[in-house]
Amino acid sequence: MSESGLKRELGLLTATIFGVGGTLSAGNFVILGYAASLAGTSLVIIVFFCGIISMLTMLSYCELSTAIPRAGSEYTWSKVAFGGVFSFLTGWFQWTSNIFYASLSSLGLAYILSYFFPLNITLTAVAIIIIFTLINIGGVKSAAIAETFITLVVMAILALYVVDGWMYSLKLQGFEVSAPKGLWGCFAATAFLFELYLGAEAIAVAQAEIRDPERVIPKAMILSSLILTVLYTSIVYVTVRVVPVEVLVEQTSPIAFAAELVMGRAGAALISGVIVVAGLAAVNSAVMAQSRILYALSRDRYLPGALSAIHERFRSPHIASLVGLVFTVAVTLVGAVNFVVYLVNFGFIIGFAFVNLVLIKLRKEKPRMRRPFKAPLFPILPLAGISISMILLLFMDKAALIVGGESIMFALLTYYLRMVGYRRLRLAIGGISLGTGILIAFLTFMTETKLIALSLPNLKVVPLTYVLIFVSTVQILAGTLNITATSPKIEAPKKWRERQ
Amino acid sequence: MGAKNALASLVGLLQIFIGVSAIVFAYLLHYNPSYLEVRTLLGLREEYVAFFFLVLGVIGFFSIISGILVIYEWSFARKVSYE
Repeated sequence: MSESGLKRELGLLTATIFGVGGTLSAGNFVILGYAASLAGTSLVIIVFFCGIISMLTMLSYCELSTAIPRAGSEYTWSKVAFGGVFSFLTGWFQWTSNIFYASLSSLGLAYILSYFFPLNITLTAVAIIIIFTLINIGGVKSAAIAETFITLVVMAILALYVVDGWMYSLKLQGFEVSAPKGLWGCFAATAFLFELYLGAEAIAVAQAEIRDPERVIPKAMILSSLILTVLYTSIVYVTVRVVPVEVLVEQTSPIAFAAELVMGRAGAALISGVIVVAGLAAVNSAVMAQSRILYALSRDRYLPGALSAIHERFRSPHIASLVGLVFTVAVTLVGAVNFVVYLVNFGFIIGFAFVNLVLIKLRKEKPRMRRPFKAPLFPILPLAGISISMILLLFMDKAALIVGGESIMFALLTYYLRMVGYRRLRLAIGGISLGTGILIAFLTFMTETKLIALSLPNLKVVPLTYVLIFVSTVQILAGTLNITATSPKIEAPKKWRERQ
Repeated sequence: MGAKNALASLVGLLQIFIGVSAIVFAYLLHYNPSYLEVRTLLGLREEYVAFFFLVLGVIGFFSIISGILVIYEWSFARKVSYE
C-alpha cells in the first residue's frame, strides 16, 4: 500500500503501457494534415526529433519523481524547489494545459466521429466534455489496469496499420523528403507537433500505484518514450507515404483517410474506432487532472477555498470540476483545433522548462538529497531541454503566444491579489485610478491647446473635452479617496481580549 | 452619514458608472452591431478598434473595482465592529 492508501499494482509493463496510453489522444491524429502543410514529408524526421526532445525532459521527470515521490508531480516538485509564485505558476500551467488538452482531445474525437456521421463538431466536443466532467464528479476509481488493456489493443491495431501501410507503400514510387516552407516551416511544425508526446508523464502522476517505484518509474518512462517515438514515427511515415501531402492537408481525419486507402472502409472504421476509445481515456485523464490541480492550488491557499470543497456523497472536488468545465467549454467553443494545439503546447513547453529548472536548482541547493535515479549529463541535458523549449516558443502561432502571455499576466494578478492583502490592493487600485485621471487630464490639455493632434473619435452629440474632464476628475477623486482611506482598526470583542 | 462619506459614495458610484460605460462602449466598438454602427458614427478607422477596445476595457475594469472599493471603504468598512 502507498501512503495515499492506493494499492501498488502496476509493474514495469503495465506502467509503461499506462504512459503510452496517456499520450494517445484523438487530437494527435487529426492535426497531421496541418503539420504536413508546414513541413511536407519531412514531418517524419520532425516527429522523430520531437520524440528525442520529449525524452530529454523525461529524464528530468525520472529523477524528480523518484527523488520526491509525492502526489502532484510538477507542482509538488516546484513547491519543494522554489515555493511561492513559481510553484503557483507551475500549478497554473499544469491546470491551463490540461484544460486545453481536454478541449483538444474532445475536438479530436468529434472530428474523427464526423468522418462517419454528420455531426456539429463543436457541439459534439462540448457534449463530450460535459459528460466526462459529470462522470468525474460522480467519482472515478483508478482504472489503470483497464486503460492498460485498451492501450495494448490500440497499439496492436495501430501496428497493423503500419504493417499494412508499409506493404501498400512498396507498390508506390520512392519516398522523397520535402519541406515546402523551408527551415522555418520545419521549426513551426516541431512547435506544433510537440504535444504528440504529452501524457507519458502520467506515470509520475500514478506513482502511488506503481510497485517498486524507484526502479520501475525511470524504466517505464524511458521505455514509453522509446515506444512512442517508434510508433508515431512509423504512423506518420506510412501516412505521408500513402497519401500525398496536398491531399492530406484537406482531410478532417488524415489517419482515417489513409487507413481507408490501405485497409479499406472497414479498416478506416477499425482505426477510427480504436482512436475514439483511446481518445475517451485521454479526455477523462485531462478532465480529472485539471480538477485535481485546481483542488490542490486551492488547498494550498493560492486560490479561493471554495475550490477545494469535496462533495459529501461522491467524495470528489465538484466545484473545481465545474469551474474547469466552464473554462474547457469556453476553449472548446472556439472550435479552432490548430489554435488549441498551440495553446496546449505553450503550457506544456513552459511546464517542461520549469521541470528542468527545478532539477538544476535541486541539484545545486540539495546535492545530498536522496536520488534513486540521476539524470545523466548534468547540467547539459536540462539546459538543452530549457533552450529547446524557449526556441520552440519563437515558432508558435502569434495569437497563441498572446493568449499565453495574457494567461501568465492573469496568473500573476491572481497570485498577488491573494497574497498581498486587501490594504495593498486598495492602494494599488487607488494609484491606478489617480494615474489614469492625471493622464486623461494631461491628454485633454495637450489636445485642447493643439500641442498634440490626437485622432480622437468625432463625437458630435457631447463635446468630447467635457466628457474627458468629467472622467479625469472622477478618477482623480476616487484615486485620492482610495489612497487616503484609513480603515479604523477593528478591535476584537471584549470577551476575546479577556480570554487572551 | 457625513458630507465626506456622501461625497465618497457619489464618487464611487460615478466611477462604477464610468467603468460600466467604458466596457459597454468597448463592446459596441468591437462588435459594431448593425442597429448602432458606432464605428461609422464616430468615423473610427478599423485599425484603431483593437487599441480603443483594449484601453476602454482596462480602464473600465479598474474603474469598477476602484469604485466598489471607494464605496466599501467609506460607507461600510468604518461601520464594522464586533461589539
